[in-house]
Amino acid sequence: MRTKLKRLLWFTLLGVFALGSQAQTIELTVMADNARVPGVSVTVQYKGPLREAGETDSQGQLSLDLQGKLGQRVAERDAVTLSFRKLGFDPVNRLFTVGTSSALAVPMTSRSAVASQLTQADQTALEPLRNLGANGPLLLLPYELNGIAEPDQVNRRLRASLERRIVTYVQSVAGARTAELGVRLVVVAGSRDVSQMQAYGRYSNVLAVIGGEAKPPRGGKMQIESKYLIIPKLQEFEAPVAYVDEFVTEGEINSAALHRQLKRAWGRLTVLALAIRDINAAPAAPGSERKAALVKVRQYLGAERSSGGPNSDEYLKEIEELLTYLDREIR
Amino acid sequence: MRQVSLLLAFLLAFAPCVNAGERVFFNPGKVQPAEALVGSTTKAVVAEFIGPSDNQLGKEVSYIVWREILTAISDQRGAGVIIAAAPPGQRLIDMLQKDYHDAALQIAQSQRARMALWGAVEDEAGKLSIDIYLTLLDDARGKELNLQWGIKGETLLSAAIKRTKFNFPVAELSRADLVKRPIVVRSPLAVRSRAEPSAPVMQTVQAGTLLQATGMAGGWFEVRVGEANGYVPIHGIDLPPPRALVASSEVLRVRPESSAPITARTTETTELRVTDMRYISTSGLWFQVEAPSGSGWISAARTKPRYSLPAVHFVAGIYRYLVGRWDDAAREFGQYVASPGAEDDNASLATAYQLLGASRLLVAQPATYGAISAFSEAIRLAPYDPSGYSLRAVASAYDSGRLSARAATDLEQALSLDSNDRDARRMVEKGLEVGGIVKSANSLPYRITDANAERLIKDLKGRYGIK
Repeated sequence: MRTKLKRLLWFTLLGVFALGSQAQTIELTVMADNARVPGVSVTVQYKGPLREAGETDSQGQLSLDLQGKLGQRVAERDAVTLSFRKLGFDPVNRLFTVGTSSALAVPMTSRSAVASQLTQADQTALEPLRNLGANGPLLLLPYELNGIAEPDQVNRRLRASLERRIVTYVQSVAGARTAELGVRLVVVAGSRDVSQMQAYGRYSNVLAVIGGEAKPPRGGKMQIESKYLIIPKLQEFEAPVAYVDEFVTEGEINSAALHRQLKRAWGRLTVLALAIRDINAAPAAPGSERKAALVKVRQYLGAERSSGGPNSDEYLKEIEELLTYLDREIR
Repeated sequence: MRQVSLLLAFLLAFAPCVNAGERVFFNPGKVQPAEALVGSTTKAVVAEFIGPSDNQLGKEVSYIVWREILTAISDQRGAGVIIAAAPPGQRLIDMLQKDYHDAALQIAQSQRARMALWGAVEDEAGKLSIDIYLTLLDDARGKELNLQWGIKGETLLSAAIKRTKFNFPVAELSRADLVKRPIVVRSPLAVRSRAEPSAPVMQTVQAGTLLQATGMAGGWFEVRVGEANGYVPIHGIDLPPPRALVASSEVLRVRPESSAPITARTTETTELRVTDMRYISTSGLWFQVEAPSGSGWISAARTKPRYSLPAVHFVAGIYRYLVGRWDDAAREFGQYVASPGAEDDNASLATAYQLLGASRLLVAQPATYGAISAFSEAIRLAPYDPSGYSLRAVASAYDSGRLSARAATDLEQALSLDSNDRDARRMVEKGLEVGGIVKSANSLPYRITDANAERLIKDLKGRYGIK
């Protein structure tokens, strides 16, 4: 009897372990233009230093054993930061919530990708945003929430929540310079891939474009993938495309669930976007006026860096890059 | 004799708290209301929270935060909390537009308050997501939020706790947990049949009466009176914390009085439900708690209250810190850092650890038990914040009585993050000036700046062009 019980206990433990292990390994597949991308270098970070995770194989795949790579188990519902880099492609950062899905398809965008022409209807929809001022706005494309009741209402509430959270974050770091910074919800008919989102952003002259979609449920959980693209460009600096992946129980999808992780991530990226825009807007000619403008940017970027946490090295590397660039000019 | 002491306890039970709460209406962009609580030296403004729609949820949550802060600082003379509400019939959400922090700041400045607190609430089927924001006003950043170390009355090293705007992590709790709770009548109060000041009076309840709230409607608690439901305005009641952490082997008494008979004893450290509360003028706040072995009264000072929202602890800690009540401040910041989900916003948590470290340092002089580890935790949470290193350098000086190599290394780290960091530069500048020889308590002479620190400071002066 005791032996049977022991065996049962072992099987139970093995089952729990297998279940745990499964959730702690992510099968990554990197895609671009409907093809798999080999040779993408991947890093991972969770409550510790940034770790090299390896490169995607000839099939664009990488099996990432989180526990083995990080030396610790990732707590259920905690997020790890995954970064994807390859020459000729826009860099990608993803905040991935662990514990519910083991497969992750990662779209990257080739620098040579060309967006399709914006339709007349989309141009008309975006027209009101084109001349809205130096600090904004951010363009929110409605989340594609197929199979969810009242998606329009969820999107409207998401817009209001994101705006408040982004604006308050920017106010707390960069001071009161947010009068024109808001989130505008605009319905477009075209696709939501990254190159097309960039086209919407460039046409409407916005600071950033935000979008997302609910992916088909797996194991009772729905993956919500959110994207944030910074639109202003700086020759010396590559802004990454940022993703946040959340897993929400079916029937629990609401605006609060959608922006649980987005609060800080989107606020921080908006500070980065403002910095790029402010650097571009500084007087081009070297001199005291340009220096004064750059010093202001440096001040709020410094404040932003100082609020960086132990799990945000990849993002802080980008801030550091901009600070180094500014320091070169200011000194 | 027993009757006399019971009567005395009865009278003392109705002593009002020494702090004050007041309500003002504000209109962003228009003439602000006259200053309230003029006599209060330490004030905060809680601006009515933003709700999701036409319901009064934002108002309800902000009113609860207002009353809970008042409870948390109930024994602090000269402290006041103002609730800033939208004029009757208007909604704050329509008035604020996108001013948020700035609108709250505007009203706090007009009220000469040192803190502005506001927030937003979302309700999904009874589950609330609450965002709370806090701004410290400039004068709260004065010397009170500096940490200084010196010898013989001369300040030699100082560093500031610099962060002043906090976006606390989202708190999630059910509406029922927030509003269904015991409430205590603060002064004689009319129970009305509707949540309106002009509604018929059902009955009048005396100060000190314990009522059970069954719901809320804007600024009113719904209570059960006999067979019917009635309403009392929130500004007429005191709100006990929902729970309090009580250590093992504490005694619970039959009355809120230290000489009262013991009714139960705790056998382990545990969080207990608070079922009643009294402020006693001679011994401060008392809670009635429900322990497994029975319910009874315990002095609030012997517990760690757990308020509905962690931000209440943070704000209470600032109140205590600003008037030099370091022990109470350390308790509140300790409660904040231990609250579930605090790590979701590393910046506010790091500041809470800085304030915890500073409070421990100041309460425990010359011992520094737990202070350095709190500063180190702040650095772990915000490793790119130069002020974290400057503060730990000052704390190290407290710890060792000198500017040690460890402190100098922290100054080096602060300068490597920001070569213009004023605190670090000033301390490096002072570093060699304080290199003299003093006599310690046992009359043995020693150098304030040790030899290794001196070498590093000379190097930093050269590297960063510091005079």
